[in-house]
Parts: sequence; structure tokens; C-alpha cells
Amino acid sequence: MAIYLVRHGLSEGNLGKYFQGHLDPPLTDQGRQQAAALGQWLGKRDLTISAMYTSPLKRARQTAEIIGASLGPTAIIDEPDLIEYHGGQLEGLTLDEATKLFPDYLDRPLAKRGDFSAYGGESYQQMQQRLERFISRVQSAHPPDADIIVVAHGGSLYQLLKRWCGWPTPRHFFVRFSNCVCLKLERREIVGQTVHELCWMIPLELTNQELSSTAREYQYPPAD
Amino acid sequence: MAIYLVRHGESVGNLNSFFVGRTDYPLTDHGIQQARQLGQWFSTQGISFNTMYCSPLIRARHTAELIAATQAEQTLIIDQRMQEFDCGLLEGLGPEEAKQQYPDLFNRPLEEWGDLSPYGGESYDRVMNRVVEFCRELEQHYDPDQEILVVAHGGTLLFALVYWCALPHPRLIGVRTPNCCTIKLGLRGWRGRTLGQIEWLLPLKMLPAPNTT
Repeated sequence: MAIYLVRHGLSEGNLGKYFQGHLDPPLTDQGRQQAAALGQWLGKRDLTISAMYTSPLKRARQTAEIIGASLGPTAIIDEPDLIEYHGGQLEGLTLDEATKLFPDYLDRPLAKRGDFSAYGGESYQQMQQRLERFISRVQSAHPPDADIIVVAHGGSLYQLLKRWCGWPTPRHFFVRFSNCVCLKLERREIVGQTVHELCWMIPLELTNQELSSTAREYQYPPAD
Repeated sequence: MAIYLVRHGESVGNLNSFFVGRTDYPLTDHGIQQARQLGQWFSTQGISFNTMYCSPLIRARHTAELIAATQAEQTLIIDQRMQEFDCGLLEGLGPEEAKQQYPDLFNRPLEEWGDLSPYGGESYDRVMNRVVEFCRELEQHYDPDQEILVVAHGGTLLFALVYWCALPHPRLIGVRTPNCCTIKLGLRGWRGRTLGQIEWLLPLKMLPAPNTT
């Protein structure tokens, strides 16, 4: 089974550089062009995709629809468990605003990152649990040789990736999720365990520099 | 600072056996071609390296030389610490032979896979220690504007990735590194330590054509 992970294109929220979380801004024009460029690139690869799973938030859903248009008839399935972290009071804030309001925000130890319960948002555990649900649903819904695409967010994809590729699952696996980056994972059985390997990770900067953008509303770890 | 981790091109050992560690197989003709192709791609992309490191084993050194031939600055630094695992008694065995001679080999839990000490090879910790020592030295010597090339092996490159990119360090990460694939890492300081971020992972067969916009 191959799984293609795709982060959504540039959204209005990325442009505003605020923490989007469950907020639902749409794609920008550039974001739509990014999705179309990735769709064309994937379309040339003769993939047989059994299904596309997408976070129901507009920026992901629109990205999935645009990519799907290049792939021939493909079912696009809304998957609420793929939605971005709930960021609580951080949602809608830029990094500057967040650090003014919560001066220790950037000083949290690495072990607290990815946990927004202190701000009224989602805990690390809650996020893990819903992604675990997604993984088992996908695995029971498809035969082992089916290929799928997952369109979601920096935070939720990041959690999926490290859960799939690290043993034991690390708390952090630093990977740059730029807009419309695409990662291919492949499933393998080793000593009775199902493991996934990262086969490639291609950001738009390698296939279409003009459209590439690295906008993210937050970073692991923060850039400064 | 960006680091480009490159696995060597196809070697004679890749064709014939499964466990290739310290045995010093040369590149095949195809492997030579792969290294040339990658070097040319770096230079058409304008990627130039301030410093280039390679493992002393001929498959890595030759790959690095072929890449360096396309660069303005061609000095290579050979570093013993990035050479491949010593596979001990498994060295040179194919999967079937290894299974016959050491039936337990493939029944070990996943987390023990990187440890070849039960078979007379190198232990997990020993390899990790030498790779980490190399990585730390790199971090200390170079400034943020530099681009660094490291040509090494499937095993030692994965350990470098674990050290820089995953916390707490998992015992294993599933990252596939076919011959002459490139992993670009961004490195930055954070609270007295250096963290790496994977920017791309590009197998040779996925090299973008020069004008694909």
C-alpha cells in the first residue's frame, strides 16, 4: 500500500500568518495554482488511487478537489479525524500576538509542543487518538495493495508521519511541511509488524519554484 | 546551514548480497552513471558545496569524487566515522543464506534490527556514537550560510537522520534510501542544541527535469 500525504495549498490564513487550527479560511489564488500544479505532476505518474481522504476544512478540501480533477474519477472522502489541531485561544493569533498574550509560549519544553490543552485547545493525546482511529479505518477499508492520497494539515500530517515511520513513535520528527508538499509512504510487513517507509518527499520548490511557498502558521521548533 | 546527505551509487555488493558493511565493493558502471547524473543535477540547480565529506569505503568515496568533479571546490574530506556498519558474520550474505545460518535474525523485534553485535558485528550504540560524534563536529565548525555534502551509506545516514531530526531518538526510522538518493536537511540552533529538519527526500529516479514549471 502506498500512501501519498499532501499538505494543503497556501490559504488566506497562511497569508495572514495566524494559527489556523479549526478556523476555516479558504485557499488563495496561489494556493489553487499550487494544487493544480501538484495535480498535474501526480497525474503524469499513472497512479491508481483507490480513494482520497481529506480534512473537511476548506483549505484541504479545495486542495483535494483540485488535485482529484487531474487524476480521473476518484472518490474524495471527508475525514473529520484529519482536521488540524484545535489551538484553543491561540487560533487566529500571529506568533507575535500569541507570545504577547502567553509570554512563555515559545519557551515550552519540546515535550509540551504539540499539546495545546494549556490554551483551551487539544491535547497531544487527543490528537494521537483520533489519528489512530483514522489509521485503523483506512487499513480495514482497503486491501493491502490499494493506494490512497491523504490531504490535510501541517500538524495532523506531521503526527501521522512520525507515528508511521518511527519505532517507537518519537515525540518529534522534524520535517518541513510546505504548501502542497507531497510525501510517499509505502507499507511493509517486517517480523509480523506493519511498518511504513518514507520513499520520497517532494516540495513544490523542486517541481515548480514559481509557485512554492513555505508558509506555516507555526513551526517545530519556532524559527526564532 | 543545509546538509545534503547522499547515499553512494549502486555497488557490486548491492547486486550480489544483502549485508554489505565493511566489504569494500566498487561501484558498478550503473553506479558510476548514477553519481555523474546526480552531480550534474546539483550543478544545474546551482547547488554548490562549501565542504564535502565522504566515508572511506570506495563506493562512497568514488560517488563523492564524481559529484565533486562537477563542483568549483573539489576537496573531499574522508571521515572514518561515516563508514558503514561492520556486519560481522553476516557480511556478504544474502537474505536466504543469512536466514539459514542464523534462524533468529529475522525474528528479532524491530527495535533490535540496527544491532549486529550478536553476529560479531557492530552494536547499535557503537555506530550511533561515532555518527553522533561526526554530526556534532559538523555543527560546531560551520556557519549558517554553508552548504555541506555528506556521501555515506544507508545505515550511517539513517543514524544521522535519527540524531538530527527525531526526538526522543527512536530506535529505527523508516526512511528508504536507494542508491544516490539525496536528503536535504535544514539545520538550526535551538536552546543550545542543533536540530535538523528534512526539506526534501529525493531518490535519483525522481530527479525533476531541468524545466518542469
